[in-house]
Amino acid sequence: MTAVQTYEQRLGQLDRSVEDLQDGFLKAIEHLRQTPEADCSFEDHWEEIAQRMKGLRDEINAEDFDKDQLATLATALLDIRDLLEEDPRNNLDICDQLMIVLERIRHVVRDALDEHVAGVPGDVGMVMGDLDRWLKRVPDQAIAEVLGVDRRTLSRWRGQATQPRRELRVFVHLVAILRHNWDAEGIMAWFNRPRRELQGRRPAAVLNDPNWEDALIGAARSGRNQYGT
Amino acid sequence: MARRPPTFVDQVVIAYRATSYDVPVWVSPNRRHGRWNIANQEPIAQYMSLDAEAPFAEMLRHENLRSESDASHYKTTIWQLQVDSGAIVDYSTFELAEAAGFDPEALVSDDYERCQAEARWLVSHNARGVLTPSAALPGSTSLTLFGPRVRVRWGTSVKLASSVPAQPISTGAPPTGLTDRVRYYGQREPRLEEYLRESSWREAGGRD
Repeated sequence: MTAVQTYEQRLGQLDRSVEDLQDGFLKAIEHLRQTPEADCSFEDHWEEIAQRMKGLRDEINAEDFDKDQLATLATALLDIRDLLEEDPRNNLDICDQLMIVLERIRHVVRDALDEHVAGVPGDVGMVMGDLDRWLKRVPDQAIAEVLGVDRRTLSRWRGQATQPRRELRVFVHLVAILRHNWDAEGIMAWFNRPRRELQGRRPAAVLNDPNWEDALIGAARSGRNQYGT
Repeated sequence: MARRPPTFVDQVVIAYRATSYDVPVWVSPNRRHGRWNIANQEPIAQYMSLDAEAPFAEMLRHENLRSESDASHYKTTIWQLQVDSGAIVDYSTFELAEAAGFDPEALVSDDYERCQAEARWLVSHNARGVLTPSAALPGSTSLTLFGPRVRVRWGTSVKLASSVPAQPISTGAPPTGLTDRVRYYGQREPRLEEYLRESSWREAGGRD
């Protein structure tokens, strides 16, 4: 009997698979560099790598990704197919492009893993479980104020398995991103600090407005990466 | 009069970059605007610094964390990157930028439009990066590489144009005292002011 893998296990496995492929690919390039006249062992190794690249499609479970991520993955898989047809063995530029495409796949997988929240499609109790884990010691009152609900609503949600409300879904998505750089107190403070990307508004002030959803997600992600300011 | 094409230098340096992702460089267009890039457009910009404090300063400026207390709730990982690249444009001082025909004030302005346009122009002349004064930490230097890069393990001999050996060196909150030295949005840039003062003094004949 095959055990059903969790979301994290599936994506973790895919992530490792792509990373192994990149390592093998770099080793093959090194081999080629040291022994320009490719021997049989190289040909076998290269063939295995090419087959694994083509086989990546079968390792991707569409349900694990959103629409944009799936579009990026589909384009990357097509690019791999096209690049392999150009026979990269004698062309370092093609090798470079293949490496970049593989990295694009890894980035999508990593984003999906980093921002995953259990239960978002239809189980508010599971969503609250993730929130409680990430916002330990934050009083319910503080969370309820940001969400614009009564404190008792949070307790009620913990015991339900219904679809989470939009505001909660956005809030927990933001927390899933912010937890990579902020402690719980810092996360709650983030919601109350005016931001340039929101034209000086506080995230908490626009959380309930669907028009600001993308800007909020972008603002949360922006704290993860150094940019030229 | 048409501007002359940019001149390039080689850069073989250790650079530093703050990120909480498990890789420090990108292969897809940046998702948001930065000083040298427009969101979701080419060129991809990889932002880094030539010292390990400036990446924290960039984050403090971006997140507008002005007190030690606010900054203490933020943490990030500092990566070390082994950069070995040709075709780098050297605007590391206001003087060098101005001599190359680029407005030095734009380098540290809160409005990125002129730098974004300059990035497109530089890339159209095959530039692979640009050295500039850090707008977040006066006295520090930023290195922005253009185009996709892939992290390879530290110590790997680089074989592909996109490969950058990199490794994380620390994870934690910004150094104590840094908030006092960061230049936040809306604040003046003392080194630029000094440069402009000296420039106008020279233009006036260099006499008191």
